[in-house]
Amino acid sequence: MSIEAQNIRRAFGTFAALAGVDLKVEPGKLVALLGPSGSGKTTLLRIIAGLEFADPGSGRILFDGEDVTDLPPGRRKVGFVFQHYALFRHLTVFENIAFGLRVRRRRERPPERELADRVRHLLDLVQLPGLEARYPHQLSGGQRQRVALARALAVEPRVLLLDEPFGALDAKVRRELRRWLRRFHDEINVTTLFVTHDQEEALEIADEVVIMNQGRIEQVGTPQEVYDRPATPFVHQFVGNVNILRAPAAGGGDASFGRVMRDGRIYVRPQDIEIVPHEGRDGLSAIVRHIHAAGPQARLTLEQVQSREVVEAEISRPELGALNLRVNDLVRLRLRQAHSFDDSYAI
Amino acid sequence: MATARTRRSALPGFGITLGFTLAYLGLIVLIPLSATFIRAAGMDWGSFWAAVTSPRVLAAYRLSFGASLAAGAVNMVFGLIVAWVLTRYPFPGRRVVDALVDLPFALPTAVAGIALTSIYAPNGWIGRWLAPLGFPVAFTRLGVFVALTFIGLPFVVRTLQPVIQELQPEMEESAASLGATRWQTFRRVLLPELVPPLLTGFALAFARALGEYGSVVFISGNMPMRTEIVPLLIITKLEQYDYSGATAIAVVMLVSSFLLLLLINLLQKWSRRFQAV
Amino acid sequence: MPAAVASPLTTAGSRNPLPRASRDAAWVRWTLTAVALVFLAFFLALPLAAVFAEGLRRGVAAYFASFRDTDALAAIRLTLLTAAIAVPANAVFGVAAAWAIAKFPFRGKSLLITLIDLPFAVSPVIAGLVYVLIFGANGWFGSWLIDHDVRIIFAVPGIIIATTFVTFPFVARELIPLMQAQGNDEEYAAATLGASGWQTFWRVTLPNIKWGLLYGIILCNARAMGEFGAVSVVSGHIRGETDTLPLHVEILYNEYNFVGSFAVASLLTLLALVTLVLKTIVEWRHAASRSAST
Repeated sequence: MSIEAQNIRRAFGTFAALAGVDLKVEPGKLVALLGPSGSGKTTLLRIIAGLEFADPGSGRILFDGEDVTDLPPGRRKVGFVFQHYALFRHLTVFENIAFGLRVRRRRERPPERELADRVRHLLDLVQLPGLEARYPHQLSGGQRQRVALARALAVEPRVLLLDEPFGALDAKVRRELRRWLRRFHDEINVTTLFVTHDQEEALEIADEVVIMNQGRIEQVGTPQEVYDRPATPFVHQFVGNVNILRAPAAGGGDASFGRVMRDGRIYVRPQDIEIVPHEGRDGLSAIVRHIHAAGPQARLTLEQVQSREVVEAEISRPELGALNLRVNDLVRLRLRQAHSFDDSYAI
Repeated sequence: MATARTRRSALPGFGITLGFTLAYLGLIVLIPLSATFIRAAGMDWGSFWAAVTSPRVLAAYRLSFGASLAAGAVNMVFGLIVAWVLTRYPFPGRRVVDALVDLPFALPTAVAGIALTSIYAPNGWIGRWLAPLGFPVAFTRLGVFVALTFIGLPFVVRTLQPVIQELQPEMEESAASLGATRWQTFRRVLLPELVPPLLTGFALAFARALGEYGSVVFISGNMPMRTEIVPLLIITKLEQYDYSGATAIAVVMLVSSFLLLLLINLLQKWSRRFQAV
Repeated sequence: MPAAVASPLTTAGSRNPLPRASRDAAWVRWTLTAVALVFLAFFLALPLAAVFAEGLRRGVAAYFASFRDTDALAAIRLTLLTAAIAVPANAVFGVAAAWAIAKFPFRGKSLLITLIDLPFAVSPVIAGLVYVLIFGANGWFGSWLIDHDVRIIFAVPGIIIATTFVTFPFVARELIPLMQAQGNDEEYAAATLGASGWQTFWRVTLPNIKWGLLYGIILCNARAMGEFGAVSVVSGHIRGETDTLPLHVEILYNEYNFVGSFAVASLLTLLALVTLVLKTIVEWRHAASRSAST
C-alpha cells in the first residue's frame, strides 16, 4: 500500500505548520519523517491518519491511488501509534487490542473465539504472550509501546503510522526497540511511516528518510544519501555533526582546501578533517585546545590560528597515538570532503 | 460568545453538544438573569435610585457587606490555620476532620440556620454563657456574622489546601540552608505563595456570604434597619408585591456579584503568574 | 459549592512524609492543631450535634412521630421529585458542555466557562426572583400562563426550575477541567480503530470520567435536595403541596414546633453526612485510579 500526500498545507493562525508538502511512500517501505520539533512532521502524520485535516482547498491524501482525504480516521484503515501510546487505561491489554474488532458492526465483528485467537496471535507477534489480563499501568514503557502496536495492527491496517514511537523510552530500551521494530517490519511488511526527531534512529532503521524543516520537506533519500549527499545546508547540519567554516578561513588560497564556496561557507564533517603535523604548507594552522579520548574515536577541539574559528575533528585512536598530540600543539588541518550549496561536490 | 468552529475534527459531536450547551445555558441562566436587568431598565432613574438608596436598604447593604467582610477576614485567619494543619500535620482522625470541612457546602442552609440559632440563643449551648457577658449573638448582627463565618469557612480552606500541598519542599530546604529561621521561611518564602489563594478564598467566601439567605434568616432576627440582610429585604419586597423595588436591589447585588466574579478570575490569573507556561 | 474552588479531583495527590526543613517545631504543631480543632468544633461539630440533640429533646418516640405527618411525607416526595429532575438534567448538560469545551477548540471558550459558573455567583434569592419576574402573575409570561391555567410560580414547576438554576454548574465544573486534563489521545486512538462517536463516548470517555461525573452528581444532588433560598421565593409555602424538606423545616420552626423542625432537619443532616462520606470515597477512588494510570 502506497501513501501519497499532495500539496498539503496547514496553518495554525499565522504559523504555517505545513507549507505545501508533497510526499510519496512506496509500498512495504519503512520510512522516517525526521525533523526538529515544530517542523510539521507530526502534523503531516496526523493528517495522513485523518486525525487532523489539511487546510480547506489544499491537497489530497491518497492510499494506493484512492483518495481518502475526506474519510474519517476510522475508515482509512490506518494503524496509528501515539507518542504516549494512548492505551485505554480502564481496559486490560486483551481488551485494548480487541477494541478495534469489538467496535465493528455486528456482521463484521469476529466471533469471540476468533477474536481471542487474533488477540493472542498479536501478543505473540509483539512478543508479549501471557500479558492479556494486565492493565496498561502495570506494564513497562516498552511493553506499552508494543501493546499499542498490537492494538493498531488488530484492525489489519493498510498502513502503520507511528508518532515518535520511542520518544518516551529511556536510551537503552530505545535502541533495543528500534532494532526490534526494523525486524518486525520486515516480518509483517506493512507500509510504515514513523515520526522522529532523532537522526540516529531514523538513519539506523529506515529504508528512506524524509527530512522536514519549517513545514517543508528538505530532502528525501536513503539514510546513506542524506548523510553523504545532503541536499541543503539544513540537512547537513541536522544529519550528523558538521563544522561550518567561513570560506576565506577555510580556503586561505590553499589548494588543499578546495574551492571557495559561493555561499561563503564550507560544511565539513569532523571525521572528514585530517590532522597532520605542522610541517610543510598544505592545510591550515590550528592549535589543539582539547582532546576528548574517552570513546572509540578521539574528538579534538581545535582553534584556527588565522581566523580563531573553532573546529571539531574526529580521528581514530591509533591516529591520535601516532600524532602524539597534546593540548596547545600546533597542527595543520586538511579537508577530505566538504560541501557547499551552490553546487554540491566532494573534494 | 462561542462561535462555530472553523475547522473539521476527527471527533464528532461538536455542533450538537455546543448547541445544547448554549441553548440550556441561555434558557436556564442567561435569559432569566437578563429579566432583572430588563425589568430594572423599565424603571425611571429616580424611582430606581430611590429604591436602592432608601435608608432601610442602605442599612441592609451596610450589614450584608460589613458582616460578609468580617466573616471573610476571620475565615482567612482560621482558614489558613485549618488548611495548614490539615495538609501538614498528621493526627488521628485527620481524614474525618478534613471531610467535615465541607459540611457547610453539604448541609442545607436552613438546617445550618436553625442549628446555629439553637446554639447561640440565650438559652443555647453557647448563648447561655455569652449572653450574660453582654454578647448576645442570636438575633443580633453578631449572629449574622457567625452564620456567614460558618458558610464561608470551606472556601478559604479548600482554596489553600492544594497550594500548600504543592509547595516545593526544596524552597523550604534552600531557605533553611541559607540560614533562615523557620518563621523567616514561612514569612518570606511560603506566605507570599499563599497570599493569592488566601485572597481568592476570601473573595469567594465574601461573594457567597453576600447572597446567603437560609443560614442567616433564623439567627438574625430580621429587624429592619438593624439585622436585616439584603437577600431578606428582596424577599420582603416581593411579599409586598413591590416587584420593582425587589428588582432594583437585586440588580445592585448582581452587579456586585459580577464584579466579585471578575475580581476572583483576576486573582486566580495572578496566583498563576509564576507558573511556567 | 463554590465558584472557582479547585476541585479535589483535579488537584488531589499523595505526599510522602515531609522533609526535615518543612517540619515545624512541636509546640507550633500542637498549638496550631489545637486552635484549628477548637475552631472547627465550635463551627462545625457543635451545629451538627445540636440538630440531633434538639430533634431528640422530647425522646425517640416524639422524634419519629415527626415523620408520620402527611405534610412531612409530601415534603419528602416533592424533594425527591425535584432532585430526580434537576440532577439528571444538569448531569446531561455537564457532560455535553464538557465534551464541547474539552474536545474542540473554539473562540469564546473561557467566556463560556465563566458563564457556566454564573449561578454560583448569584444569590439564591435572586435565582428565585428572576423566575418570578418571568413566570409570576406580573411577569413576562404571567397573563399568558393565567389564561392557559398553567401554574409555575407557587407551584411545583417553579421549584424544579429554580433548583435547576442553583445546581446548574455542579457537574459541568467537575467534568470540564477533568476532561481537559485527560486530553484527547484516547478518543483519537478509538477513532483510528474505527469506533463511532457514541462508541468512543461510552467505551472510552465515560469510563475515564465516571468518578468525576459521580462526584458532580453527588454534590449536585445534595444542593438540589437542600436548596432553601431560591425555592423559598417561588414556592408559596403551601403545606403538603409546594413544601420541600428545607421549607418544611422552616414552617415547623416558625410554628415553634422545634422537635418536629429539628427532626426533619436531622434527615437533611444525614443526607449531608452521607454526601460527605460518598464524596470522600469517590475522591479516594479517583485518586487511586489516577495514580494507577500515571
